[in-house]
Amino acid sequence: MDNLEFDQHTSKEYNNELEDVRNHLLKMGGMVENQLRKAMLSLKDRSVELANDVLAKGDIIDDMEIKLDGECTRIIAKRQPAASDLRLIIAVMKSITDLERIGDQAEKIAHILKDLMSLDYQSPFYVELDHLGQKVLGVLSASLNALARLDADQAVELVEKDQLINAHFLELNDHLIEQMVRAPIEVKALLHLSHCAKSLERIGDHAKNICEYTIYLVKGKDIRHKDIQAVKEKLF
Amino acid sequence: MNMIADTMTANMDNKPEPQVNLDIEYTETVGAYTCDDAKISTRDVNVFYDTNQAIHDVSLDVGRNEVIALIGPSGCGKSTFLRCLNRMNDTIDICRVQGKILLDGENIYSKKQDPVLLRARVGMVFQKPNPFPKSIYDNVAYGPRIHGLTKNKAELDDLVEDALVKAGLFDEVKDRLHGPGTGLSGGQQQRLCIARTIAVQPEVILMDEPASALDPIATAKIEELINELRKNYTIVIVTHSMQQAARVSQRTAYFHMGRLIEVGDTNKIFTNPKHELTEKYITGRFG
Repeated sequence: MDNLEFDQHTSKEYNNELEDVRNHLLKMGGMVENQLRKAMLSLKDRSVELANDVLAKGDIIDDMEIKLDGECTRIIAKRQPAASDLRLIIAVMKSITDLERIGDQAEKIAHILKDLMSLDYQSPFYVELDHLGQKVLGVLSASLNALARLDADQAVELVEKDQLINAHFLELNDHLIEQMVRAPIEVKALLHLSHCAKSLERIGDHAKNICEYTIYLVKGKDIRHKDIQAVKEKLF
Repeated sequence: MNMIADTMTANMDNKPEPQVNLDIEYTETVGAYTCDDAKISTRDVNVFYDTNQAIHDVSLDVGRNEVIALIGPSGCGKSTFLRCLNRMNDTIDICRVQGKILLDGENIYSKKQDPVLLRARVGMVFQKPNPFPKSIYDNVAYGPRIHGLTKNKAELDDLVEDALVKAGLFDEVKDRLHGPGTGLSGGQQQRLCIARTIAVQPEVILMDEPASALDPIATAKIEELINELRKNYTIVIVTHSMQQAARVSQRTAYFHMGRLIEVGDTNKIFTNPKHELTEKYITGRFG
């Protein structure tokens, strides 16, 4: 049953509660995506203001996580959701944890960028890091779209893409290490860039988790830690 | 043991086959309706109240020492189906039961089957506690007395105590065994009725919404009791509380308009049902 509907309950109040949870999740997703986008723009434009803006908005995302957790807890207590409703609540509760961590990683990137800008370090690695960032941003954005549209097909494709992000990160990190060996004086700045790259790679992992929750929500199967090819053959 | 008989009917009159009016498109039952070690097996059961068909081709096994929950909206036929399992529907003149219902492989609708003895093997607990207007002791002792299960008073005393202990009631009533059963609280009365059922040493216990008239604490005690009883009995429970079905049963069967729509592992039914009607019912989407 892939055609999930959350607005057909006998209780209209329950419909509204589930609708609110979904809307707030998507709003939080949009905010987190924006945080990463601004962090990457800060990298591209070397903008301290944008980095500061990312840091200033971190608390709002934390508050949204707490608010959504409360909404889900109240629905469980009052409605005892079952089947797709239960899976929705579980998927939301798990997704917001990942979204909050993505928000934290975006803040971490903003912090590092501020430090890098204070070092006045110029390097072609900024462009490479931006490429990785754009790739991660694209996957995060698509993951949130898949969640919004309950699109398990797109979600499973995105789970596969995480391997590309991991490979890209490893390649970039290798280049950074080579540069550290060549120019030890740049080690501090290069380590900052490496940490940024690692944060982006972690964001890719969180986006993948969100896709896995989307598949759980739509298909009712927990595919975590399973071989993705086997999952595709069995479920899709 | 009786050989499996062909299709039997509860009332053997020769009424014409009633016309069936299908309101929902019929699909075959989703999920495994069979069990490896079935205590009760039903196959192609149809039940009619006069010309009105209440149950359509229901095939379902109940596993030994299993709790199976029958759920579904009002009028879906779950209670009618439950009542078929110990021939309670025999008491309704216009009711006809077709199909096979086997208890340990024996057709319970065979002519040789004494319904009274059947009901001793397949006991029943009803929605509303219905103790006899007798003492607590006599309520429990009534069945063993009429079935001649004990030889003397001492044996009967032991049997009554054992049934009350199993029903989780003994400690609460041991000092007033000869007080009236109707003087107990609703939850205690229901456990007394369960003790009365257990006292005749049944193999299967049918429960028709056993906790619907009870408060949450009494309900929790009944549910705990069901978990305990499962070790020794096979239990079929009809309930309107989906949370109760989820808590007490290992398998769940969903009925809709007289048809068995889906049956399966309770954990799966409540997290990922396969049939859209099951999904709609357990998520509260029927208006």
